[in-house]
Amino acid sequence: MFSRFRSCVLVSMFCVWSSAGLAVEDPVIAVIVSALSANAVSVSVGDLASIYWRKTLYNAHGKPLHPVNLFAEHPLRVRFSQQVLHSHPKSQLGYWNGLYFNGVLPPYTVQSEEAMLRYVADTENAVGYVDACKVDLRVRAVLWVSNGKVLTESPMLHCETLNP
Amino acid sequence: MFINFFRVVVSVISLCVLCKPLFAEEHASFWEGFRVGGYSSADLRIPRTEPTQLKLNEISMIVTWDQGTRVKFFSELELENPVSYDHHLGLHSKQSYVDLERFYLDYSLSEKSNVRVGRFLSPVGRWNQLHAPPLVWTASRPLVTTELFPAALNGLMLFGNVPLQERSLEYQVYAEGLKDQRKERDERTYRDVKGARFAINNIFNFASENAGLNTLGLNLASYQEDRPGAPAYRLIGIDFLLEFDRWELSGEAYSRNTSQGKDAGSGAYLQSAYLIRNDWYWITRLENLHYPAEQNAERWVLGVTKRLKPNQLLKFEFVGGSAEYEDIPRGFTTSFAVMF
Repeated sequence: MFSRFRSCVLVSMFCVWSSAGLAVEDPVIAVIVSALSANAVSVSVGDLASIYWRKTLYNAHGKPLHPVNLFAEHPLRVRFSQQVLHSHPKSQLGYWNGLYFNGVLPPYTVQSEEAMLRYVADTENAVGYVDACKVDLRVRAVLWVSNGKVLTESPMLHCETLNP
Repeated sequence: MFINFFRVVVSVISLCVLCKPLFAEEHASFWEGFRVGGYSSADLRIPRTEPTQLKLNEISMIVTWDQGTRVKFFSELELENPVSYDHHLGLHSKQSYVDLERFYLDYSLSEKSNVRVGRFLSPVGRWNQLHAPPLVWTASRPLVTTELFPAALNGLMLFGNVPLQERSLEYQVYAEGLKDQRKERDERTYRDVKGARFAINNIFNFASENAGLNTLGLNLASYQEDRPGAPAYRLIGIDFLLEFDRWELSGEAYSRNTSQGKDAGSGAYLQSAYLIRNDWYWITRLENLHYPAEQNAERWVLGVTKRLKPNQLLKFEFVGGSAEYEDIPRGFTTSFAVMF
């Protein structure tokens, strides 16, 4: 009886440990702007969702913001959408149609993280996101999305396993 | 009227095409700011008490201009009921007319506030602001969204969005500046319209993978019907949207009183859309309308809607209940709607 209890405790501990391990390995998403100061824009934690919902269209200087999305099925888009916008991209179709009806276009869509990096680097007031391990000198990470939270400082990254 | 309308449209487009090369070099970005879109829908209606009718409901043209400055322009010109067919009148366009549905300029005052000047849809509830057939699950519109308040107004609106951590507060405060200059058929017209809508988005802050949009709105308005001796009204209402897993629930409820506090009508609807499979949705709606001096109405709507493409809906529905309203007859309707 006691050994069964001990086995249960060990199994439970293993489950907790492995789930914690998975959470740590869940790739961190970096919210990026251009590294060029002329193209860069400041993005606060509170504004991020509003920018991506296209409810905030301009920055503090009256310049239009250009949020960029990966295509709807991209795993990073799905995770970004669920963690920042609290909904799956598929369920947003009606919302984007409604916005189009009111003259507002949804965020521009790119097909890869490399395309995201290029677009954000070269576009004034563009805001995008990539796997935090793929951030390079063309862009600057301003926020990080990890485990459902938007952070202002980079968490510990484990890039060697993702990007050898 | 139909021919005249197309003459005007063709003339304007021709003029634009002729002018464009002349200004191309100097003002290329000005012209690049224009976008044209629109939507259209067609119904086959088999009402219980009226003849069967096949109808092209509208051809709507949306023109926007956005050059990346603080100013944006939006217009929607609609040709209503361009062609209908029934076995009494045959093919005809007797109900056809042109309607300038929206025409406004937006100016961004700051990140969180904008001002709109012109003609725009009354910011009352959700359905009235998103009433285009490709955006709504049913061909029939809830009675309460057509009978109790003005659909559009000419005036000024302050609007914006204020982030509140995971949630956001959306506000729209508006006042009429110029009353409707034209009355269409039996349409009720209003004057001295003013009001506000406040909505909290992401109210439940769902973290589940199956979560969707969830919004709760509060609507306040006052206005007067534009006829001699008509009372001034005060309207209060709520609206909501809740998406979770395969379900989308939405509803609106309104109560209207005269400025003396007398009952001047009320009503509500509650609608669900359930994703069955392969983009087929099962639609259920219950609604009621209490209108003083007229018969109260209760309605139920049962139907299925297929999202053929992201911009196309095919709808089949039965409408039952009590009382007869001309625009929203009881019976069977199938409809196709497209946005372009």
